[in-house]
Amino acid sequence: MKKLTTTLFALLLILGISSSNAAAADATELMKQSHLAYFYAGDDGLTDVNMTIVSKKGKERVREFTMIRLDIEEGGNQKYYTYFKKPSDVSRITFLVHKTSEGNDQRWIYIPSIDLVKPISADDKNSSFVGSDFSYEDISGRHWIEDNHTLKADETLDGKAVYVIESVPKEAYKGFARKLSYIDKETMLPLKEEYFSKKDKLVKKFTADKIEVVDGITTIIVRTMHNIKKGGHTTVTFDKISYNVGVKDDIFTERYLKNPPRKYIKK
Amino acid sequence: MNWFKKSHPIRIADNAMNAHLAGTYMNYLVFEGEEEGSMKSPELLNYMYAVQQELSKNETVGSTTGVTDIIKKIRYELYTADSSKMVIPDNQLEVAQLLFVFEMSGGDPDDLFEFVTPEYDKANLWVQLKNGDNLAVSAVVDRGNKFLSENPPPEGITVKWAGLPYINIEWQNQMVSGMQKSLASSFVVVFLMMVFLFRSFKWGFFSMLPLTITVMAIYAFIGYIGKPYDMPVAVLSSLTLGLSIDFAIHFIQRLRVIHKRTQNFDESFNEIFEGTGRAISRNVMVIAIGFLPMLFSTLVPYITVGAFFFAIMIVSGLVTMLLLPSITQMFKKSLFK
Repeated sequence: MKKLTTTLFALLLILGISSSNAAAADATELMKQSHLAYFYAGDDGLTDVNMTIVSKKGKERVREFTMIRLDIEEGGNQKYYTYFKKPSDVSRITFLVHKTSEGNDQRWIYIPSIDLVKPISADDKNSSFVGSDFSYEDISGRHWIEDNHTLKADETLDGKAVYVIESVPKEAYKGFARKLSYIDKETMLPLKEEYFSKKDKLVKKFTADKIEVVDGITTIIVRTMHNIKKGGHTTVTFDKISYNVGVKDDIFTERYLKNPPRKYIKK
Repeated sequence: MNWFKKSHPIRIADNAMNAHLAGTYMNYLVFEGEEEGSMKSPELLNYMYAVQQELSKNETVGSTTGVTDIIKKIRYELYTADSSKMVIPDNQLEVAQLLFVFEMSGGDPDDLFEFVTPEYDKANLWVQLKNGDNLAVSAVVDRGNKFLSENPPPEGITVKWAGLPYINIEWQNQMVSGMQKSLASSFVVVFLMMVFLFRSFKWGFFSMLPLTITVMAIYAFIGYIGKPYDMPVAVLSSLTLGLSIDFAIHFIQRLRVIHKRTQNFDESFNEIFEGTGRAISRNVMVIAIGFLPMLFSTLVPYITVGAFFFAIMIVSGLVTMLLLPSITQMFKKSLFK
């Protein structure tokens, strides 16, 4: 077995890494950088979130929550703590996610009306987050190693130079069959993403609507997910963002689900 | 579905599916509140559950599913499969939070929104029926309506039926009563026209006999065998009106013309049976036999049409050829002065 591996390795060396492989490697590297800029900004982050879900018929539903993120490892494990404020009948619900780069995430929810902490299924990362057009994965990121990436073009989008990268899941995935990301060359943030179905129809479109520099970190303040397939969209607005506040690991535990850390969460 | 024969594969398949599943006929009971969130009220949810239990007493109802069942199921799951917790909580906050947990715990939010609007101002209770027959559906609807009137819904809530089987019975009711009205009014109009045409009230009256007797015979027979009065029957009764009056006009008009010439009743009768009588009988036979092939159709309405056309032609032909001559014979003095 070892011999075979050595032979293969030697073969690869002899053949050299082909140019297309080099391009793929580049695209993967670009995707990784974009991912780090987008989902791993700073070592931790704290923000108030307003999520406005607009149905096809134009009816609005609003969710407001505070979100605390801690990166355990850059590009790897992360922990998210979410404290819901609105709608008022779900206020004080808290939600905890331990995200792992291997994909076996864990989620817990605290239900204040019955004072119960319950682990909930995290199998379907493509499922909707609190009934919005964003999936869990759109919020916390789909790891770049799960897709094959190809650099399709260098373009200009709204006056900004972008990489257009196509991502195709390595294993069949419900969320999309193909995704095009338009990544700002300067900040490495995605300005636009287009999700295509198996039949290559555009089903979802992400747009970064407002970008600002906060604590020296370029941040998407307003983003929208357009649900092309069903109609409607969800707009997420960040407010009171702060980075590198020194969030401690122990708040991402059951104890803090029941008793939210007052230091970070103002009612 | 009853438009297919009992032995037709589609009907057999439908019966089998309905016997094993909750029912293939989807009816809905729509609960509408005045404000957002009114579907989260425990009072409303308990009421909806009571409606579900009442409807389930009808044997046609395969199952009922509503937001109530989702809430109970979430509660059951949260309390690690404790079936005593499978009830509607008495606290609205808990209802709201349980539903939020459902939205959080993955799956398609649209699954929930099959049963309730995202604003929670309207809910849709699924009432799956095993039988789409008008009588069966009507029984379910009546049972529901009786319960709703005896136990009014909570303040500010209205409850309405919806769904295809319900639309069907409404449509049938409208259609049948519409048909009955139009049949009655055409009957009157035809009678007036006959009186005008023959310039005689008596002749007008007698000319209505073949169609009256035929329609009555059909209805009596339908009632006797217990066949529901549905669309094919309604259409057929209107057709009877036209066909039978045709024979009567033909017969009476010819008789009067001939009699004017001969001035002799027996002579006129001989002549009319030779000419017009033969024409009418052939007309009857041709149309009656012409519709017989429809008896071999797989669709029940076609069989109905075929069989009834045959019967209509025979009955109205017989009445024209036997009854009309006998009556004219009896009243010949006053009819032909």
